[in-house]
Amino acid sequence: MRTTLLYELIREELCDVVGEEGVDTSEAGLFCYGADYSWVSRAWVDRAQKPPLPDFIVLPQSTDEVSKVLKIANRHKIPVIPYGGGSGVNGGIQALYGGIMLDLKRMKKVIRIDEQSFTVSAQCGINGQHLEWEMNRHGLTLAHYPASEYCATLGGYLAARGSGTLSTKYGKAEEMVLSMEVVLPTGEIIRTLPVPRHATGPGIMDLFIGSEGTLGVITEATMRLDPIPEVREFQGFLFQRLEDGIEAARRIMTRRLQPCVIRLYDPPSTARFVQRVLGLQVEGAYMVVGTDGWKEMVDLQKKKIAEICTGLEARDLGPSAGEAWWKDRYKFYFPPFCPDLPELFGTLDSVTTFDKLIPLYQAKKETIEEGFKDFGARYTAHFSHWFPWGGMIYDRFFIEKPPQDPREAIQLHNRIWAAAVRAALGAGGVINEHHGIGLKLGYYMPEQFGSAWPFLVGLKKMMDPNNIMNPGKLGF
Amino acid sequence: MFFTEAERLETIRACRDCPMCHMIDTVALITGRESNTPRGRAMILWGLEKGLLSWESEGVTPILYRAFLDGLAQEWCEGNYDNDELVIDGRRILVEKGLAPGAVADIAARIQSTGNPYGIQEQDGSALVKRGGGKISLTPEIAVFFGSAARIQRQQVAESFLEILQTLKIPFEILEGETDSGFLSYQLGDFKTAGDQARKMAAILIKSRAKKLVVLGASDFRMLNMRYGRLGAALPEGLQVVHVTEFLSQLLDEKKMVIRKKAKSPMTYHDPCSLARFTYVVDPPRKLLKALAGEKFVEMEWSGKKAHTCGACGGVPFTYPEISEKAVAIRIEQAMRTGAKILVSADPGCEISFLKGLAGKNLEVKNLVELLAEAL
Repeated sequence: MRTTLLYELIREELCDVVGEEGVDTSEAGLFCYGADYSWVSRAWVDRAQKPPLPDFIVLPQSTDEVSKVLKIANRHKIPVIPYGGGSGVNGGIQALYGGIMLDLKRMKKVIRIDEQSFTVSAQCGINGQHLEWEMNRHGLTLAHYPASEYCATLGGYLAARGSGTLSTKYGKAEEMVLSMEVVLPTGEIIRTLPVPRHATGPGIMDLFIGSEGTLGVITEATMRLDPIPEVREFQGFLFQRLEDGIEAARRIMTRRLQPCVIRLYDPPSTARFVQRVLGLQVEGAYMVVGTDGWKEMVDLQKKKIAEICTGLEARDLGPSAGEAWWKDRYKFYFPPFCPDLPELFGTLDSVTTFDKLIPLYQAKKETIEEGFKDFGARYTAHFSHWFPWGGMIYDRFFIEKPPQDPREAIQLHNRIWAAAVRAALGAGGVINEHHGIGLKLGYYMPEQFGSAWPFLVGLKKMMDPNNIMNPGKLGF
Repeated sequence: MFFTEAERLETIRACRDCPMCHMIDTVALITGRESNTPRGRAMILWGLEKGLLSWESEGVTPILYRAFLDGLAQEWCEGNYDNDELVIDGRRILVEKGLAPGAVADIAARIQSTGNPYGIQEQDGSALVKRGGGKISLTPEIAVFFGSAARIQRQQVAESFLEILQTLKIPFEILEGETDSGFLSYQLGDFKTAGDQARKMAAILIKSRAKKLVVLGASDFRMLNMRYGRLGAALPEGLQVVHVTEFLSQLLDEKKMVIRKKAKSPMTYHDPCSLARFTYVVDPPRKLLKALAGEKFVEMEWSGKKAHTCGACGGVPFTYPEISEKAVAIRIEQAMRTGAKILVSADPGCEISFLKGLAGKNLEVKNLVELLAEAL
């Protein structure tokens, strides 16, 4: 496309909308958008394979500019991929069919803070950490701390149904949002209702949450805030058996003790991450529990939580083990502490009800370690986001020495993932809890949704008749 | 400058996949572009390494030169990877291939003909001494390295320091023929000019009678301490190199300097990158400020090791001035948020940057040395 007259015409139309500075078509500039945080995209580039690249990088500064860009894209029938921080692990931003990479990070204004209702309205290209800092200046917090906070954007939080470290108490991003402004695939601008709970018909906001850029561009959102708690305290526990840790979490959650976080590591995960990153020499299933709020309430919650855990024969490691984990919670995601090439790895994740959590864990563990033992596959898991009805399993597979050939490596990666996903579905889990579908898991969406899938496909066709919005993702 | 090729490649691999310092890069904040993040720059360097890009590819030069190299990414990085040195190394190659921005060659030509990057013919250093008071001693306790910024554009800083030395009766000498330290050239990837300047200055320093060199500029201080040896310009044995804030802070501790007039206006302090990181001279300026201003000294939110750039680092004012201006505006806004009326710095180069962004702002910019000279 780059050498055609049409390319030049489209470029000029885009510059007319966002200005010359808002369009980048340089070879090096495009190359920077060739990979996100997914193993496949990284391994492809690592092995010197040319990644799929967009034709244009476009950086709008307003909703109106986004609308105009989408109208251009529709007229020329070229793909548009909304881009935030590029921190997705499932290839959600890969420009499989070229087109426009719509980088929203110039749309970063905080529009309004309502200190009575505890809400903030902001443009969706704002960086998550910057938004949090701005809220902190007002004594408020979004309390959304995903591992990607340093790079993800508000729009990305919502488009991927993200979850933060404290989601157990404060909810996932989808539970924090009150309303949104969205640009539809055909360029119309809509606003959802001003509140998320009502009895005025179906909630159209839900169409866009988790849509990963396939049904429109989220340009603005109003989010719920919380006051910065008086205290936030952590406890560390060590269980000999993972099952006891899960049971402890179940009791904590079903008795509505409202911890802000329960992070439970299985023994291999304890060894690989907790020992190595935090330097805590513990073996077994390590658990951190956090509680926050008024001091008196925190003290009572901590007491009850400790009773539950020690009643299941956990060793109470005291506050410092938990405090260390909280202080260094992002360290796990920096090199050299994070999973990295040349290992072959993937973050699987699933969620299910309490009664199925152990069987789900065991099914996936066996699928990986038995099914791929010839490759020396290892499986680690931690349980990080909890609900009154169940828990989320954040699991990974690792192969220390994968094939060097890029095609063989990716085939192996896909086969492991396929097996793990089907094990999850068979054990009562879903194919993903908060990392999103992207490119990687789109293939399994018909299996996940069953008879409902044609309905979603029909909806996509109706909203995006030219199929320009992030094609090839989410299974569309 | 990496010690080994393996270290350089390890840094590229670590940075090219990692988005954990995105929000700390000032250029990325300004442009919103992935290419202006440390990850984006490392991704390009990997592409160059693997032949997926060439050095002549459109965008390589501007992307590698749109970086402040302020050390903040490394400070933020839990793995301590030095993305800035990757960029400097990339710039070095671009310079060698003749692909660097024109400003790099212009600066080299100016330094060669005038001894400073501004292209201004300099007077003899003794003119500064005369204006600052005092005279050069034959038995100096210290030698003074002014730096290009103080010699040319912020002469009041040089004069103020000489005034302090005269007031405190500290015998000093200046460096005859002092020329640019080479720091800017180094950051621009012009290792030839940087090395030439380093060797020139090392030859001048050998003639110094003093055993202690006091440096006014933060970047010059960093260059002398951390790069001269590696550029083949070893400093004279036994010569102690200190930043002016360290020197004055020690005088304060030893009660050889007494502040007689306390400051009346609220003030805040900008840590120059080369002091905040790399050399970690963070406490001495604060000791001086607290003695000078007491409770009227208010810290910025981004201070100490996490100080943001003044907009002057990485050669960006010369190569991409529009980006530098936006960085200046960000830092000035952070200063004004403290309620301060004076933004204090300890590097004349930072002050030159700030002075460009003051129009319409109720804020004054001063070097710490100027304030101390007024207070003795």
